[in-house]
Amino acid sequence: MKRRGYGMVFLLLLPALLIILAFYVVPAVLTGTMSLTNMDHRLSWNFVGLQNYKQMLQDTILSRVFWNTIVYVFGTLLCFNVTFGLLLALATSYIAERQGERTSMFFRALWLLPRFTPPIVYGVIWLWILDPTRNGLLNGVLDFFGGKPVSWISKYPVQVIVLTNGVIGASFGMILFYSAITSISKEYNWAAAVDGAGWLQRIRYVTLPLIRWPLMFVTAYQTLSLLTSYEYILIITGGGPFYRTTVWSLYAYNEAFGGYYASYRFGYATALTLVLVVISMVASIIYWRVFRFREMMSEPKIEVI
Amino acid sequence: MAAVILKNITKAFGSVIAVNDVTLEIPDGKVTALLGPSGCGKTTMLLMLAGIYQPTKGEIYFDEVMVNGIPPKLRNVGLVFQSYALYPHMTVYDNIAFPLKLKKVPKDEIRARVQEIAKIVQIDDLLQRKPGQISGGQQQRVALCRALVKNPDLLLLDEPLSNLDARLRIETRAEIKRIQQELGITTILVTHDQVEAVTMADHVAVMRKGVIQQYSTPEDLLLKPANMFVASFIGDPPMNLLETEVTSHEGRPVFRCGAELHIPIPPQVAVSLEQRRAKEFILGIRPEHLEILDERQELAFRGTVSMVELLGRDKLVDFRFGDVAIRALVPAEVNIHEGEEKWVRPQPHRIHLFDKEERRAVRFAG
Repeated sequence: MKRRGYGMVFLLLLPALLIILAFYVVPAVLTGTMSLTNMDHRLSWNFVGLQNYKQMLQDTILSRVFWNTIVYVFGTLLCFNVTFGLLLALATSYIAERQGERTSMFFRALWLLPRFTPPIVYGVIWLWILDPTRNGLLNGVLDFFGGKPVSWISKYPVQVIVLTNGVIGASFGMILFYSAITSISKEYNWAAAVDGAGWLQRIRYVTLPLIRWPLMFVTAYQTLSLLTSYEYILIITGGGPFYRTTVWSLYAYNEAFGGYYASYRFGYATALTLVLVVISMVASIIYWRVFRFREMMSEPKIEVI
Repeated sequence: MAAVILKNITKAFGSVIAVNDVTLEIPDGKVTALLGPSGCGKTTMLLMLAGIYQPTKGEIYFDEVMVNGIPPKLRNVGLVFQSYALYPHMTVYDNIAFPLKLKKVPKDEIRARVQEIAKIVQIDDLLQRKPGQISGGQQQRVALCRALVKNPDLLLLDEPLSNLDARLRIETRAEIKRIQQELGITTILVTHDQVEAVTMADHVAVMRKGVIQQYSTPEDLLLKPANMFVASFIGDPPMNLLETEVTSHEGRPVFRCGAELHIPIPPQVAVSLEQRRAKEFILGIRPEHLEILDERQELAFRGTVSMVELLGRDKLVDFRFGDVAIRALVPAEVNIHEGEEKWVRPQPHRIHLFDKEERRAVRFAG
């Protein structure tokens, strides 16, 4: 009876185990192994030891890519995913209080739209907005007021990738911060108002400290997700002009699947992604330590009595 | 310190009227209670005084100054919330110092004033703790400190004792009263608990559905209730309220309540009732104003004890007359048992009559 019970357990777990094996364990092992080969478009397993990692140390582009990644990740994070997300949350919670939950929901839904849009469509919309001719939206407006067209993407490539990713990314923080802000008991804000705080002081001394955990969580989580994201950059700038906007994950992608400079260097590309995994892990550990997430796990995530 | 005057204050939330045309004069330096069941609009009144809500109609004056439209931070009001609303991320010290910090008071002065008020309220040994690390009673005191530290003109307390256990409640009640008297600060207290209102306040405004029912001293609430709501809301155990008809029985004037109960009418009441057209009233007698006698006496009526309940110092004695019941409150020492026949005599000047339609108290000489 007992043995049969175990058999049953195994049988029930089998589908999930197979999925994990096929889509997680096998690819991880394959990636690790592949990073030790110089596999190219012929897909032959030609082992070269740590050759790829040595090459990385000599890759003159890579340091540039590294700094691009830092600027892109933290620029997007600080300007949009956290700060702008927070502003949206504060604004929509204020609207909810004044104009009702429906109006507030409308504005939040508006900011969620980019998330529902297929990435290609979203990218193409931006290409149209930023088009260097006067057929583009921005240049059309400039032209209307008598300005000269600006080729936005080649002139401000870094700002463009931060902006385009930020407009999508902000909604994640917005949703989390909004729910955290609205779950703060009204009495804290009333107490602060009676204590003499204006609205800015109420945000600084009451709201922000009380949504500390969601703030830190969004910062950490979005860092990791930005580190591995490249799809909008690929569509909008393609990593250019000349590597100006090539971030680590895009560099790896281009090495593997052929951007315009390299093609099908699967061995080198997998080595690059493995290093990115290590970078992500280091970032996670730093956040875990600095933000003391262990405390968050043992406490309610929003400090409200 | 300030006297507070409310003139025709109305507050509506959409179509719901929370406070309806309230006019009140709250004296300087005294404790005034707003008493009523939950949802009667008393907390809304408090939040209007603090400036968090703006009245839909009417005017609020602190002394001679109209404060409508003046934001909370400029009103110099201290407010203690029912939940205390202590900032959980700040220490007790920072909580109390917060109002002063916002006023940009110099650090040394903040320290001195926080320590001074903490000493008065007796929490000076808790200053470095967080609100989550102290008990409910201590949190209450911290909230009181935070309200008092800025020397407010007006102290507002929202159900200050409701989150405390019974013993702590009695202690804190006395404590708040002591601090109030020591500082002589005008205090407005919101509560649903009549004991709290009666013991702490110099004046009590009883509210129901946004309307003031009676505004008087606690004694008058008990002895001269203005209407049936106040009569039934104030007093524990509640007042006996019986539908009655003024008639005569065996040649004497009586209140006839149901088929079997005839309460003799004291002569001075009878005289003033003769001048009235109405013969039907609601009769109100508080249980503690009924005497139980072993023998027949003037103005007493006979009844059979249907139940006796011991309530510590007192005994609650029920009499049943057909479908009408009356309760009396007697000292616990009185020897009385179920099924005994007794004589019951109301204290003549403690009889209340209420208009049957309008439910207002009928005043008569006596």
